Amino acid sequence: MSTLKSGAHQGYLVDRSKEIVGAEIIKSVRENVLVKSIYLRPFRPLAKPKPGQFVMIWVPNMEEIPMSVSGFYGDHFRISVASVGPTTRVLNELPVGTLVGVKGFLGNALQLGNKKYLLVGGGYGVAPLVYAMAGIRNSHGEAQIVIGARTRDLLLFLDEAKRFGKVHISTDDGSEGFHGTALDLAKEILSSESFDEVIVCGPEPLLIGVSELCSEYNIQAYVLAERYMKCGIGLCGSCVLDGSGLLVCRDGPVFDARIYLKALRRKISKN
Amino acid sequence: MLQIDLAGIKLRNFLILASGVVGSDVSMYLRAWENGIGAIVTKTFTIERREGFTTPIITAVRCGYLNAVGLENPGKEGMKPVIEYLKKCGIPTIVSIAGRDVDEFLQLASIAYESNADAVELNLSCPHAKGLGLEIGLDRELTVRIIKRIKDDFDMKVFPKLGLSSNVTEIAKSAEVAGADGVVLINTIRGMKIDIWLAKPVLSNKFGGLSGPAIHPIAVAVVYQAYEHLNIPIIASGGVWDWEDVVEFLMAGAKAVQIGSVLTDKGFEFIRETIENIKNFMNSRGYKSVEELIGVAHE
Repeated sequence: MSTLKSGAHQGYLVDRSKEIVGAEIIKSVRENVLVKSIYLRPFRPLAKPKPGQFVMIWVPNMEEIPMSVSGFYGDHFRISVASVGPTTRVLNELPVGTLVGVKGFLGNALQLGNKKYLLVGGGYGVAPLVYAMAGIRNSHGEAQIVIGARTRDLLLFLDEAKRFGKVHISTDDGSEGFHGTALDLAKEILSSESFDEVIVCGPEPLLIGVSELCSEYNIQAYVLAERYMKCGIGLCGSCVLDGSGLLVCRDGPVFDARIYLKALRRKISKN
Repeated sequence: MLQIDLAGIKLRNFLILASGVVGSDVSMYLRAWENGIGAIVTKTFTIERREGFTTPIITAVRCGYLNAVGLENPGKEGMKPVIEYLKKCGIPTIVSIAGRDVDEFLQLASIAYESNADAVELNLSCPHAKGLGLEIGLDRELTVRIIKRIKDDFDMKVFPKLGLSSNVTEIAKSAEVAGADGVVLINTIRGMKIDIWLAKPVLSNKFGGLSGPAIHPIAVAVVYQAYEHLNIPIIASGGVWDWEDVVEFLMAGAKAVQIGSVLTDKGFEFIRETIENIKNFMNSRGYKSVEELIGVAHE
């Protein structure tokens, strides 16, 4: 069955990355108590995702949800799923061989180049950043990453990240590495070393904190935003970034930190 | 050059944002306006709040998109703030409404009227919501009653949006006789996508509405035929994917043209580019105003 694949884009009048296609779970790996990595092989090959892009995953009889891409290997790719809702809980229990639907890859992307980057990942926000680290290496850039979590057993992708650059660890409870948040550690690093760009992904307070920090230090920063999404392709409007007219699925998920902050401030002033 | 008078509503151009293609957040409508759209049709409002269907709600297919959003909307309470905001921004606002019966349509029209909407678009054609949309619109007698009652009660423009059917021209004519100020032709067409690997329909609702290039020639034919029988303006809708498609609709007899799914593929810039391209076309072909284009294919 795996040798029988339908054509890539021939004869399509619309963007075929927006078509739901079946994919098989070929491997799953537990990363920690909350997160499992799932390797999916679509029956129609998908164009290589650009770092920052996402994919919609449909678990039949459940919902279709957006997921970051944490790795791509030609005919298959990896998502790293935190069990945080009904669909992700089911997704994380699906055995190898199960079929799901995928739609992707979607959204804009990070523009990576021959620069020095600091990546800041909180919790499972690290997932798209390890894929970005591979992209930075391919662009002959240099990457360092802050991997933060509440406790040491929730730290993600330490070994993998080490292959691509220097890893800084923070835990809220001090059980490993820096004692404090990823934001605190990022602040320390940025005050002692210079970087061309900062990329942050994780909980919203971290995105806001790092965006403000970089604006203070006058460093170009990008956030990978997350919102509830129903369609993933700009039709339903459910992921609009807080009344800014910007859609996380189409205009994002990568936003210039200044634009992101402006959108969120507009929401605060509206309330 | 591009301005039109649509049943008394002055529009800076003939491009109208179709209902339900950018959600219901006013910031999205504003963005369409900033990119040059001539008027906005809001996402359809119903009396009660609706959550819409569970996901997946949309997929691309070879020749367009298939969607079943399920008329997700905040209900009648959500109408006034949206309409008033758009009007405050100076945006011609057509409010899409869908009722289950005459009384529901009247209630919704009343809110639109009090909020100073420029017109209501009657959703008589959504192909995938039970008891709403197409299920109402295929009943010619009910359609006529709804239009008559709204026109009797409110001094407001009414544009029924009709779906494809074998007698769509007759229904449109009945709508005109009932007092409609214009008709919108057509909505998406019921379709289905089965993923052969999963061996099941991919939309949660199984059926969806097909939009995009596949339905454009069908819509052109409907508009062309209706133009020969109607005196009220026709607002065309269906599969506009390029500026040429818009011109085709005008030549078939449309006074204004709605765009929708194409924004999913090409972004809001599509509006600006389309207007620019049509201006160039008109200049190069010697058309001085839109009026000269409308229905020209019939001559």
